[in-house]
Parts: sequence; C-alpha cells; structure tokens
Amino acid sequence: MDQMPVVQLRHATKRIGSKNIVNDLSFDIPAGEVFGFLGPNGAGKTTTIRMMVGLIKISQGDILIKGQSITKNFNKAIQNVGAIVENPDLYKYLTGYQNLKHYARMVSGVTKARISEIVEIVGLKDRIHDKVKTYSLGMRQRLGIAQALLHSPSLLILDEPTNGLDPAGIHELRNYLKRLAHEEGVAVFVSSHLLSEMELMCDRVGVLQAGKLVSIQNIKDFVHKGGASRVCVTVEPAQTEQAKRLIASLNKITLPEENPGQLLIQMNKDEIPAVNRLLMDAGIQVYSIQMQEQTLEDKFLEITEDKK
Amino acid sequence: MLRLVKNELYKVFRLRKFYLFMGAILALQLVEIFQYKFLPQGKVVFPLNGQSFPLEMIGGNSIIMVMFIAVLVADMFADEYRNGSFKLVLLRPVSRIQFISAKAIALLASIMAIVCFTVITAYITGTIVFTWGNQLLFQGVPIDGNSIAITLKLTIASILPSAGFGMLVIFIALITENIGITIGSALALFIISPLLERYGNISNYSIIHLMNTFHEMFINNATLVQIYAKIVVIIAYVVLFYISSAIFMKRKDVLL
Repeated sequence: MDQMPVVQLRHATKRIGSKNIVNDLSFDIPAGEVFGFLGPNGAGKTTTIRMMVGLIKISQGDILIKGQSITKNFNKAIQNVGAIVENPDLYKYLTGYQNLKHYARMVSGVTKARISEIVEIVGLKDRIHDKVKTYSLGMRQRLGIAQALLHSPSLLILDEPTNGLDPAGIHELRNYLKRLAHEEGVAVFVSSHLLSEMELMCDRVGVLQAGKLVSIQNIKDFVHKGGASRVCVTVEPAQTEQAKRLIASLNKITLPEENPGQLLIQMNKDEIPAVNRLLMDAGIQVYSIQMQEQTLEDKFLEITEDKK
Repeated sequence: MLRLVKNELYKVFRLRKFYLFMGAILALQLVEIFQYKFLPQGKVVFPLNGQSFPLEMIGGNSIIMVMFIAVLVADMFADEYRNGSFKLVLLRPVSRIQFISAKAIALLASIMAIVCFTVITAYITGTIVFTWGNQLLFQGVPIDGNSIAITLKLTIASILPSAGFGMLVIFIALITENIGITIGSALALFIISPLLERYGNISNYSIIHLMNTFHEMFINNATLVQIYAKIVVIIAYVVLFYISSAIFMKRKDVLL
C-alpha cells in the first residue's frame, strides 16, 4: 500500500466542444518526488492542474490521489492536496494570519502551533498580521504556499511557484520543496516556465505539447539523453570544408555553424580525442574544442519543435 | 458546515461596505426625522412616535435592503470568483453544495443583522426625537396590542422576502460572475417592480413587491390564506433559486 503512487492520472482527457484541450494523460507521481510539468503556453498545463484538484470536470478517464478518485470521492481525495492554481488569490482585506485561519477552519487538525510553524517556514513572521493588500507579490506567493501546506498534504501542487520571488526567495523555496519531498515524502507537482529552475528543483519532468504528454523522464536523462552533447570545434576558417568532410566520414552530424571556422558536432564526450586526432592527422589547425552541455531549455525546445 | 458559515460571517463583518450600509440606514433615519420635525404642521402626512418609528423604517428602507443584498452577494460570489479567492476555497474538502449553503446562510444572517440594526437604531433615534408615545401607529393608524411584540413579528416577516430576493441575486451572481451585472440586475428588478403593479396580479409574484408589502399583511387584516399564499411564493423563490444555484455550481468548471 505504501508503494501506491500519490497521484495517478488514468487517460485523463478534457474536452471542450469537439476539441481535446488535454488528451489522454497517463502518468504517476510517487511519494517523495518533485515532478516538473513543462509545456509552452496553451499546452494544457493549468487545465491538467484544474482537473487534478477538481476545479473542472474530467471529460474522460480519472485522476486518483492516494487511491481516491477526484471525481467520485472528492472530499477524501482533496484532503491530501495543497495547491496554488495560477495565482495565490487570497483575501486582500484580511491579514495574512486571518487568511491562514480562514483556510485552517476548512480542514480538521490545523492547530495554532501549526499555523505559526508554517508562517516561520515561509518567512512571513514579521508581516503576518498585516493586511494582504500591503504585501508584495513575493509575499503573497509565500502566503499562498503557506495556505497550501497548512494541513500537511501528501501532494503539493504549485503552478508557477517562483513568480514574484526574489533570487534568495527562489533559492529558499527550491530547497524547501526538495526537503519536503525527499525528507518528508511529499509528492510535489510543479509547473513553471523557468526551465533552469525546474532543472535545479525537479527529479522528473513531463512535457506537455498541445494537450498531449510528449515526454516524461528523469531530469538527468532528459537533459543528457543518450549522452550526446554539442561540441564546438574551432578550426582555421579556410579548412572548414575539409574538416566537415572528415567529420562526416565518422558518421557524425554536423550542425549549421554559427561563425566561419566553427563546427557544431553532435557527439559523445569520449569521442572527442578521436575527432581531434583525425583533424590533427589531416593537418587541420584546431584552435579549440568546447563541449556545449545541452540545457533543459535546449531539450525542451527540441522536443516541442519536433512534435509540432 | 458551521465552520464554513463562521468563515463567511468573519469575512462579511470585516467588509467596510457592511458598515457603510449601517451608516446609510442611520442617515436615512435622520432624513426621515428631519422631514417630520421641519415640515410645516399641515404637510405632515401622519403622526409618528418612538415606538412606531421602527415600523416606518422597515417599510421605508427597501432600496437600502435591495442595494445591501446586491452588493453583499456581488462581493461574496462575483468578486470572489473574479479575484480567484473562490477557487482556493474549493480546493478544500468542502462540497460545492456546502459552500453555496454556507454563503446563503451567512447572507441571511447579515440581512438579519442589518434589519435588527435598523429596528434598534430606529427605536433609539425615534424615542429621542419623538418620545416613546402612547400607542403603536402604522402610517398614522393606531394598532392594538403589545407594540414591541408586533414590531418584532413584522421585523421577522420583513426578513423572509429579503431571503428570497437574496437567493435570486445569488443565482444571478453565479451565472454572470460579474459584479456590475449582479448589482445592476438587482436595481433593475427594484425599478421594474412598481411598473408591474399596472398589470394586476403579476406584482403579487414580484419579490421586490413582497419585500415592500409582505410584513404589512400582518397588520392590514389580511386573511391567513392570503398570508400563506405569499409565504408559498417567497418559499418558491428561496427553493427554486437555491436548487438552481446548487445545480449550476455543481456542474460549473471553475476557470478563473
């Protein structure tokens, strides 16, 4: 029973009219994982989140949270969820503390001590008794996270959680979410546009494109899939064509060069000495060989462009 | 459920608008008093005293009640939906029916609070200005019986149609999700109501008409059948728009 994933999407589909906004999504998120949800604008990320928390109906399929269907057993399923959907929309005319008390009243077992603990964690201790309308966007984001964590959920869903946070705040939040997942076993589902942030924060990422899940992988595999990286070789510009022919003889893909004398080659790190030797033996003057690690952004663009 | 109602009331009583309406009610009472005190003797329509002033105010502040209900409902439903705080509540283990019910109960409690405020302040201001007086008067006509008990009965009677109107406005707020349309529709209903009186019986089914006249039936020698008929109409408003709101809410995709 402990091995049961915290979230199970089973062919979840959202249809509006004849159009599938989200199409046949199936994946699981186990306890203790930070799962990143990527996708260009309009891919259906927020629609998926809304289905996961029961804000919108699922047209087909089901979503289970700790084994409970969000459609058939809403109350039991949602009590395991803490979430921010899009923006942390709190009551601006109430203080931060009054907001937290308001949300605490809706679930059982949230004590004053728990509220104080959460306030401390999100770093709002000094301003918690001020009205929310006086808060900066970053402070509202922190308060939103606080309300999501109040009842110690098994699943934390955060839609663009770093919005409005300063670098120190982002760093703190990232570490807190990782600690929450890895030490307390909470499943964290994060959607964000900040790919570099996802790379640092997530254990696994899923990429959504036009409502379909096009990739779901461990973050390291995702970025370094197949071990192939881009290698930039700078040679004497007059010898560029000769160098290209030699590299082609090794069945290596040469990408369009950016500058004269520069060759971009798709290959593994351990193949660099052989390529270097080949060029040197042919009398080509090699000025530099540089590995260009593929970032999550490169990979994301590659995947989403491929699937268009 | 009680916790949800407590939450809703907690928010209502922290709204500045709530206290602005209390101020408006007091201002209306002062205007009434001013008119009575400073009109030439021959122009006063009927005599007034402290124990009768609350009854006059209950009948006279229907526009304030209409506006109060419209503004409060617009705030509780349309504004919360528009600014997104609505959806955060729906992320809790609370059914949508419970959510609607808690808000409706909080609205009813707020209406009762405002009506009680109207009666209590009218007793105070009326007694200070006109003195308590010998007998309860309704539009100048003496009414036999315990004046406080009669006023209490009419106060309670005035709340019932307000609840029906409140449910109607809740339904409008839910389907339009718009503050302006919610308040505008309530005002439009208020403006149209007198026009319906030209068409005979139709006005009997107008909730605004009932807000203006229902409580008066208890001192206007209306028969029990007539009173029950109006109660059925009011209850029909409450039930019909509560069920419609609940069904609409249950099926609604929350997109904001």
